[in-house]
Amino acid sequence: MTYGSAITGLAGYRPSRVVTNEDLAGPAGVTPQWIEERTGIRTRHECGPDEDILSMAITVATKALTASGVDPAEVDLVVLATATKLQLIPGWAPQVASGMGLRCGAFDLNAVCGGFSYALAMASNAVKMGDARNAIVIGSEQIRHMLQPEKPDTFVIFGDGAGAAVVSRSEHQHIGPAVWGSDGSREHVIYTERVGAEHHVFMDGPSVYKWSTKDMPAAARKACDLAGVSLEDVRWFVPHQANRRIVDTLARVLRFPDEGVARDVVVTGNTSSASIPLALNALRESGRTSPGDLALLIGFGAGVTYAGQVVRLP
Amino acid sequence: MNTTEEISSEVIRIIRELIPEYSGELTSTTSFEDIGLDSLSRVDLVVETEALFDVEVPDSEVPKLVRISDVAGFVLANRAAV
Repeated sequence: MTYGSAITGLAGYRPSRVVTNEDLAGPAGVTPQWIEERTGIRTRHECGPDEDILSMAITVATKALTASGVDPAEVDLVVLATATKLQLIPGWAPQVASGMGLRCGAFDLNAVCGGFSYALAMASNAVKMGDARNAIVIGSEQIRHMLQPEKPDTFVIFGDGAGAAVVSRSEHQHIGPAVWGSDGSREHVIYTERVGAEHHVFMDGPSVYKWSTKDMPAAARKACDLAGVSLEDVRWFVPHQANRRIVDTLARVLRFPDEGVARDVVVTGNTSSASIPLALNALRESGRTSPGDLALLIGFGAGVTYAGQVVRLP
Repeated sequence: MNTTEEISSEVIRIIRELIPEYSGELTSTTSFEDIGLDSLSRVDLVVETEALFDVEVPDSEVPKLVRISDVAGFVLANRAAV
């Protein structure tokens, strides 16, 4: 037997420390204006000593579950999307579940900035197939400690944060089929490398921009086709919040009305797998959305890999 | 559209759309740096040029395209024969 699936709860978590362009300009040897003109970002958040991937994930997943009204005893799966966890074994999704008092199925997923859309597809499929009554999908990233001021293109863009969604069994198909793809020949455009005891992030910004602005519009249109809707039916465009320039170019190419485009990147920076649920939740908290609104999600990034889908908002 | 001049003319048209605030002269020898076309706008130019002329510019070639004549030359050398 198969079921429908729907997002029933959303939540976001931004670490308490706000990092402004003024904070970063000096160490990076640039001006605050340079940062904003180049990235469109004004602030991003950074984990304090009591915050990390795990604590943010537990907090945000608990908030999303509360928002959904779902009984914790009816959660059967937790999927943690993260690309910045430095410990390889174990995966941390079981600790997220335990931190919530759950003993359900739990696994990590790493599709970098596309992670939330991949995880949402996995959770939705599990619910639709009857493998889970409810699933919690989390994107949680702590990346700022992996950045260096002498590499301003990454130093000023990325932020820490987490976002989560609860996916529940539904009479309706409110999470559309996933469109996804990858191009491993572009593995060099964003990657991490150990430098001494540290992990550093390297990015070829123009190549990332070229791939995303050239290939993601077609992926976005395909996600709409798979969901059986037209772009004009979609009220909200919520792409991965890579930087404002990429978001704006995608919106322009897709001719998306300006007021329907999520630009959470301006205040949150690029939080990798957390960016889409953070932006979705911010839209919802703004009071501008209505239940049932269609939103087009498309996550993309290092790999390179992408995934997206059309969803109806709770 | 087979000559460098014709291709350059189209490249110039795209640049005018990308930076409408620039009203100065554009010739085949104009460098992108001189007219304030930043690195991501150069990528916009490359993507639009790829679509217009049905060429694929490898990531590694993009930084080498620093003048209008470089873009026109790449297109001329790599576009599918018609």
